[in-house]
Amino acid sequence: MNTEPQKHCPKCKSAIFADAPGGLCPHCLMQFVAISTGGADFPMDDRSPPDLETIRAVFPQLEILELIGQGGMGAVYKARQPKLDRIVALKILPMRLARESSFAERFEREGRLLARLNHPNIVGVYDFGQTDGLYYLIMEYIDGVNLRQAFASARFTPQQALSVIPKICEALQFAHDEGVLHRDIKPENILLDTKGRVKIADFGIAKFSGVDDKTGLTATGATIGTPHYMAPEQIERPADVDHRADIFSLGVVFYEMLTGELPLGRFAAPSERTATVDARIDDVVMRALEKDRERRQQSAKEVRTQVEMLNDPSNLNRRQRETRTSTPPIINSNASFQRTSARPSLAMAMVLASIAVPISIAIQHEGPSDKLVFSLGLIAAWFGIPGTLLGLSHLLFLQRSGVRNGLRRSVIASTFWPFGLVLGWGLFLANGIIHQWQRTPSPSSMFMINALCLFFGIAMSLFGMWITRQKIQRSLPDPSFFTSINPGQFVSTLKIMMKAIVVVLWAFFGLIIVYMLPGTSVRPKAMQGYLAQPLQLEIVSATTNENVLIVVVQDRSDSSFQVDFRGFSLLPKAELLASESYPGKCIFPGERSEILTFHSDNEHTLSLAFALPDSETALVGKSRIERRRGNAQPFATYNMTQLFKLNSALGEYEAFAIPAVIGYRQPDVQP
Amino acid sequence: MNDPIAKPDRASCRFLTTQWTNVLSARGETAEAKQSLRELCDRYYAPVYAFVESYSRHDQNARDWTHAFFAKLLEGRSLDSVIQSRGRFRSYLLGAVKHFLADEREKDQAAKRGGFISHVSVDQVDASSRIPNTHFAMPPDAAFDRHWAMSILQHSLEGLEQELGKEHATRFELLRPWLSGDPIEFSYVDVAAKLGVSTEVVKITIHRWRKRFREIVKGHIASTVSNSEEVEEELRYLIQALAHPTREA
Repeated sequence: MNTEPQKHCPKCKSAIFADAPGGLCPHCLMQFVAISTGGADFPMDDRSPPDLETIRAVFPQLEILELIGQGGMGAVYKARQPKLDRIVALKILPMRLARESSFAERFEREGRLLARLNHPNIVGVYDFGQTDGLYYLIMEYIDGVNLRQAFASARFTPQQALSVIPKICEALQFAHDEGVLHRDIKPENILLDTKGRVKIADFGIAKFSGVDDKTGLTATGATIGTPHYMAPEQIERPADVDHRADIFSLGVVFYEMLTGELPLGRFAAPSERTATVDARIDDVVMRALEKDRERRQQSAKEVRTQVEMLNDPSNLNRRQRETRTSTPPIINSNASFQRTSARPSLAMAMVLASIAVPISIAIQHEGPSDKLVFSLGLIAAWFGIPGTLLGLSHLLFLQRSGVRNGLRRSVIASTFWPFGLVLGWGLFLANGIIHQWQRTPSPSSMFMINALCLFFGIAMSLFGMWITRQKIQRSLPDPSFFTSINPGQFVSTLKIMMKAIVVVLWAFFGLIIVYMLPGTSVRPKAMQGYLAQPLQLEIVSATTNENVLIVVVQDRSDSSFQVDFRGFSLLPKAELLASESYPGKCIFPGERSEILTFHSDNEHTLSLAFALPDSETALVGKSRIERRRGNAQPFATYNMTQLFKLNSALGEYEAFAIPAVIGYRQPDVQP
Repeated sequence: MNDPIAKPDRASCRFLTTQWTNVLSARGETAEAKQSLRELCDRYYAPVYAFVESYSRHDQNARDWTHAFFAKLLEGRSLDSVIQSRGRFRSYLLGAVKHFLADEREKDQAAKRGGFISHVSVDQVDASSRIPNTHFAMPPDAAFDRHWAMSILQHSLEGLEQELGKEHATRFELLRPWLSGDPIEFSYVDVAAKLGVSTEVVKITIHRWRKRFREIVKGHIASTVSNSEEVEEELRYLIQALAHPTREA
């Protein structure tokens, strides 16, 4: 057996013994067998791309025309597919990648994602795969220049930049929606074709090399500056990168387009660098360049919306009027946005009303009354629907525009109002049920109405939750919104809140009107009554005859009622005269425990005769007039003493000329 | 040469592709099976010898014992009891050797109270528990694995050379270093000049040979494991076994 190593392997530095197979380092040999499963089989170094001969040998199905670019992420050849007669770009990924472990799997996975990215502003991937150890992508061929080359020939005007950026945003948003990050946005990867179209190339290709490896030379070799385009978190925590890293890179490109420089160190705003740049662009660029990604635009769509607002000619005049120092936040400068932002506020107001109406009814009145309550309830319910719809429509608007302002309100409006409605209507229903219990007529109809309202509330709440979750999960999954509001947003939020408060006040004003409506000056609390058809009792006259007080009461409502004299304490001295002694409807309770039912006549007039006591306490007592309909259970009760008290014409007592009656107790004296 | 790019001739290659379990279970009953078994033993003679030598601490009888072991294996006697044949041939063979040596020790002890392995129990035949011989830094199990891997490489290289035929011998000799990756010390441009062919030819030749060599090695490994999924795993194991053999050296 071997004893001494013959030499050392120049690669792995381990000893090579005499019995090594073929005189090769066995370790390297075996390792190469394993690594080169589909890896680089061509002997070549990474610096130089495979030459045309090699590529032609490997890709017989393509006519390889020329090498058109080469960089850290591989070499690109112009080629023709004879069968389809189209020009394509063939990208060969660098060998060093292929040697990385798990590359093959990663390539397969990412390749499929890229092939799915079909967008007019993204360079399409037709095919990808591995042949003879070369990993390749066949892509759309773009006849044009990249941004870097365009920079070299002429500086971009701000207008040009503003026209290019939205297209990049569109492409980015599309890819982000598909779950693909670019990870390497830089001028070299943004192509302008001869027709002026903008195309983003090399989508997600940086991912092929793993997250860390992105510091290669650019295709043109113009700069070694790719790290300058990387978001801070991309450098510090490569594993934790999301779509907002692309937004940062986009910000760098934007900045470079405007100023011709990279935003390094403590960089000046674009407008300070270049006089032709509108100060309002600064906001967009500087926000995209925020170190903290939470403070950047949260989607490419948001950048696009902001840039497009700057492009909007209707903003131009306004922009010119404004001085640089008083540059308002972009959000405040757009009327249409404010309008849409007011939607959720209005929705919120309606939600509040929809909650407040049933609750206030439930609190203010003992029970629901047929017409009023039903109509108010209906109003409340119908408030809820536009509330939800407005909230949802604003959510949709947010999703479309990518702007986050108003998100919170619209979420609340579209999600929580149904809860509120259920709460309000639940109270209402409970109240109704209790009341059903006390009265017999048509309980089923009331129950049906209430049940219907509750069902409606629950169904809408489920629907609202579902819809909102869908929307939020798809495009608004950003909890940071709730913690970071920039000053512009704050001001506009404040304004909208003010509007909301005004709307709410109006809603309550409406409630007060409703509250006053029933046509009685009697306070409902005291009356504890039936709101729809109150017993409209009036003391028409009160006269005395000897020791008998005759009070004539007129009821202007149309139902019969019952007077319960059980609560009266008549003094023994009082003598009750027979009813027939007095004309009209003079009734005298025969016994104190008696309950007398009166059917008021056409004039609804009722005369009550009481024996007048000598002392002052004769009439003090609790009597009840119970309101009923037909033979049903009583459903409204009036307190006799209060009935008197409620007569505002208290002076009439004095006119009775029965000092004893007037004098012994004022009706407000409690027994 | 008609073909400037040397293609391996697969038909001329005769390396074992039959599953080792099938070879063993055939027990050399037919002439063909006997031949397969003989080849199998031939191929893995080196690792077994390395094990025995390391295990016996360079007893001069190591070669004899190795022979005796293979003779027994070829006879197909009583090895079924060692391992019920599933899994890897490597583990099987190692187990068989250990078992064989233990048997020998028992016999030896019975005969003359003490033999070369009388002081070591079978349980202790474990790389970690054994103090390495000063001269041989490698414990027996590691030596076995290492030689096993080298054996596979050696036979694969021979297999490839055989496939290529004699007319490519010079080229094979020159291009062999590329089989373990691009060598640092040579340049294929020089080789192309030396061979009088274009660099493209050299590149594609290397590419094809690498591809073929990989297939051969994997074929070898495949014949020693029970299913195709284990090939990669075994490959990784062997790379590990080959890693930095003697630090001291």
